[in-house]
Amino acid sequence: MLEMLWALGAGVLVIVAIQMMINESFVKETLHNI
Amino acid sequence: MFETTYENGMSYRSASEINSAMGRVYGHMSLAVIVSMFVSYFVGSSPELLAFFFTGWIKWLVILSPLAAIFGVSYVLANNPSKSVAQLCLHGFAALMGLSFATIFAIFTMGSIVSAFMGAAVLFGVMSGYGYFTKQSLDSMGKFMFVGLIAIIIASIVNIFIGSTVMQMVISALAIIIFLGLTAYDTQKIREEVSVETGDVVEIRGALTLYMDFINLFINLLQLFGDRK
Repeated sequence: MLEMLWALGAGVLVIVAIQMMINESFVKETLHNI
Repeated sequence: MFETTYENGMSYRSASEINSAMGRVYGHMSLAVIVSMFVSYFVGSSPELLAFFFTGWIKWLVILSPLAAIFGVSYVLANNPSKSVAQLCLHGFAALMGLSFATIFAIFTMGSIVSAFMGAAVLFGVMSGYGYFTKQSLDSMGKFMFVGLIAIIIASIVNIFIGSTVMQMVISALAIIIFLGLTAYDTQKIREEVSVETGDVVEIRGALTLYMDFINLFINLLQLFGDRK
């Protein structure tokens, strides 16, 4: 149960990180300009 | 000193011993949060480091590594490691998590990051305090939140392809509610676990659970209320 909670918690965080990577134009611009 | 040994051989701790064990759990958890925030700030405030970690194939490695690492950490912590190995797992994982979230410093204003952090700390404190002191069993709530968490993950994966900002806001709001509930549930569970004589690893496992709840609260508050640069 505890291990499942950890995996699900990490899963939510990873998905949010992916969303940030895909959706936030600012990140793309910042990385593109460097 | 006030330890009571019952017939089944388990030694129950006194109230002050339980409080100090819980203090150690919160201590490990706070240190893990500090490690994450430090790594995140260090990488996120440097355009060169951001460019290194978040371009090409490395960005997928960085973003997905916490998910792979959590299975390794689960395996190590389940096999009764020494205290130092367990601490290394917790803080190593916290560092990886911080790295994968370094982009928040490029997306959100510093003011909103600080506000979300403070908000998460207050909400976490209230719910953890509730879980700590309530006499009511939170078991049924925990199971409900567990199912909610699976629903959130499915909805989030679907939303990666849809890209709806409204859906993202609804998901973040639901995630905040779920992790608030889980904070209370997890605190009660950990308090029950440390009420019998346990080793350091149980405390570090508890710290990892509360760390997950806190970071999820923080990130989802930031997603929902944070000001984009």
